[in-house]
Amino acid sequence: MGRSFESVRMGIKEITGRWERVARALPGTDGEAALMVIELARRHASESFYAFDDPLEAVLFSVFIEILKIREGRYVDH
Amino acid sequence: MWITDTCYRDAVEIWELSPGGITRHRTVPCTPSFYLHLDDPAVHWELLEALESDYGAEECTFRTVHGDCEGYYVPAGREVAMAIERQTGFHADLYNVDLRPDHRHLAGEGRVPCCNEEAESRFSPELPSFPFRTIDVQIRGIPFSKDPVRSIDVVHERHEHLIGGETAVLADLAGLITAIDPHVVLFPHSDLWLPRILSSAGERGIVLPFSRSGRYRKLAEKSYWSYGRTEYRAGSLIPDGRILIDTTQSFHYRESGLAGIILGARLTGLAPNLTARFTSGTLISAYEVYEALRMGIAVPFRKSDPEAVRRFCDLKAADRGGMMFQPVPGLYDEVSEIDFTSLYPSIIVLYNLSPETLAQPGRKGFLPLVLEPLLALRKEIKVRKVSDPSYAGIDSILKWMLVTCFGYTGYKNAKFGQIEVHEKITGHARNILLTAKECAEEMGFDVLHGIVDCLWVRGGPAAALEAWIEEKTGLHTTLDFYDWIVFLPMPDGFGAYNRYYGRLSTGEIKVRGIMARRGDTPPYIRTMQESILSVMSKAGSRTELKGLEERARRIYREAESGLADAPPSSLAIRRQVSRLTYSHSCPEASAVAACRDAGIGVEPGMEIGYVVTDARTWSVELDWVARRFDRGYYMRLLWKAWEEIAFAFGQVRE
Repeated sequence: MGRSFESVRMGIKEITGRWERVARALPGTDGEAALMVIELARRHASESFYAFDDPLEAVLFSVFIEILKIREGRYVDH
Repeated sequence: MWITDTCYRDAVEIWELSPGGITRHRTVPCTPSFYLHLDDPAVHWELLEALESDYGAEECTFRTVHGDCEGYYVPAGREVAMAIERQTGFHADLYNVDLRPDHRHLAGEGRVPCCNEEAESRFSPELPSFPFRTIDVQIRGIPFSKDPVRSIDVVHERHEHLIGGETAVLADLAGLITAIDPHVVLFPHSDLWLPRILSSAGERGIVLPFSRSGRYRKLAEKSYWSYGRTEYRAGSLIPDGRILIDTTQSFHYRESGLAGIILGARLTGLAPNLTARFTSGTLISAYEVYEALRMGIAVPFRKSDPEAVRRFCDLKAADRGGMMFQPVPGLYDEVSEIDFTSLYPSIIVLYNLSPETLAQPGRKGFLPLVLEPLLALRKEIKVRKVSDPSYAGIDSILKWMLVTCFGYTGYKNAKFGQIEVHEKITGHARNILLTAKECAEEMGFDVLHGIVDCLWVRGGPAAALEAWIEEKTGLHTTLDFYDWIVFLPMPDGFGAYNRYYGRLSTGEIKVRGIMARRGDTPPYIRTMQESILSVMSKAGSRTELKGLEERARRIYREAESGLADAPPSSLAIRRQVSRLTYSHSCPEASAVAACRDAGIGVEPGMEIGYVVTDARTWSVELDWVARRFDRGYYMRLLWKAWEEIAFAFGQVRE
């Protein structure tokens, strides 16, 4: 049924997993900021598969949306 | 006349029930035949001459789903068809080769089992009436153990309890079956018990008359891969002329009851003995084959329409699966759930999707044509089920058949499937869910969650929204209203797609994905979570829920303190083993080893019940012999079940 190849969701998980490892290596507040970026990157993992093939495109799109929401005060903390 | 059973042994054999309740057996001579098409017949002239002289093959035109086809009618069996394949270097297109002769015969006659076609349609939404004498047989004991059978319960008009030595109880059972002469035998674990008691009875000179002819058909056991899981079907002995249902092993009996099995037999044209044992995928495939034969359409032996070559990026773009909107975990008040009824088959019908319509979109496709009456029946039954719960069983078998008809379009061996149809269906489904979301947002609703064919929205009564979505999409939906609903988080803190529970406006609690719903949850832990959910069902709002936290917590604490005295069998975990050798230590590996030690043959996909006795080494005991358990391990499972509930109370407090 269908075929098996890595989905965008799986790709996002892989990228943010790598980012998490780097975040641990970053000093103090840089690490905290990195973890926040990772959370922003994952926010739209479900919806992004609709049109994106490249998980990097998906994580950047998600981060941009959420940064804009933070700037406009529409960000909701999970 | 009701057909109760059919089979093929050199001729089609049919058992029919007369209006007076008498079962008659008749035999219909049947010559196997198939159709052959060759792209270049001249190349194979020697083969064709031999088929004509040896088997009486004739030139003819036959119908396929793609249109009329020039070829040959060959009155011969499968061996000849396979020899043709080999001789032509697999360049021959063959049709009607691997069909069940009894199935084909009934389709040719326009008849189906379990239906009086003169009085009613097989698509009738009325609950099937049973002119059947039914008995329940239950053997007390463990089918795997070597202990003698000393106790059998038989329930018909009375409840008979047969006890004594094995010879006595088997002789009494034989006497009862002869006296009652049942049409249907409901028998838990019959697939495991029957070979054993038939052999034991034979050794004692007793004839157990489960079969009307004394003969049994053997359905081989098999392990197979389905929807990402290894499944197992136990081997069965199927008696002639009586419907024997293993009520434990039969998925369709468990889900749909006898009414579902009867409807399944009517729709597919398969004998109820097979309907009870086959998967939903096999049932929908049999239904499609029956409909094709009834319409005079030849059924391909092997598919010869391989997927077209595509660029990888096109493949990825086309094959995306279902649309989802991830929920934000939390507790929400006054939520509506809009559910598209049988979305994928409805898309097949609405958009006329079928392998042959990909190239010829203007013509009516075979799949839409045959699925339309099934969909209409499901819609009608869903409406009736609201006021009459006895329709739930037949609704269930229809639901499963319709669910699998979509997956079947992408299955490589499906007779009437093609992967491009599969992709088109999911493509339309994604757009439909997006359209529904847009409708909701335009009407001022918040979309909380969406998964493939279902949308959860908040923002007032959703009846107008439902009507608008139906108008925009052309599809039928159902609407449920929750007083409150909890979407649980995944370990990373984001919302889980398929783990939620909530109280419907009817007062009923609906749960998905939590421990009370999972098949491998030990009964002790399931009971604890269900008791708490039952308490929570009294709360119609977030405020009322707040007042129930202490009662819920007390149930959890009582379960914790009572765990030490719980019977080990209440802590049994039932799981399907996907393989027989494991490279790492895990409870399934220990359970497989325990079965082998007990002399039980294990096959991949088989379900094993075990109790964990030491989680550090993953030691287990089989559920029916377990005498102890690892308390710490089960405390952790209890905590996990409580955590799913505590999340809701945490939200209320916030």
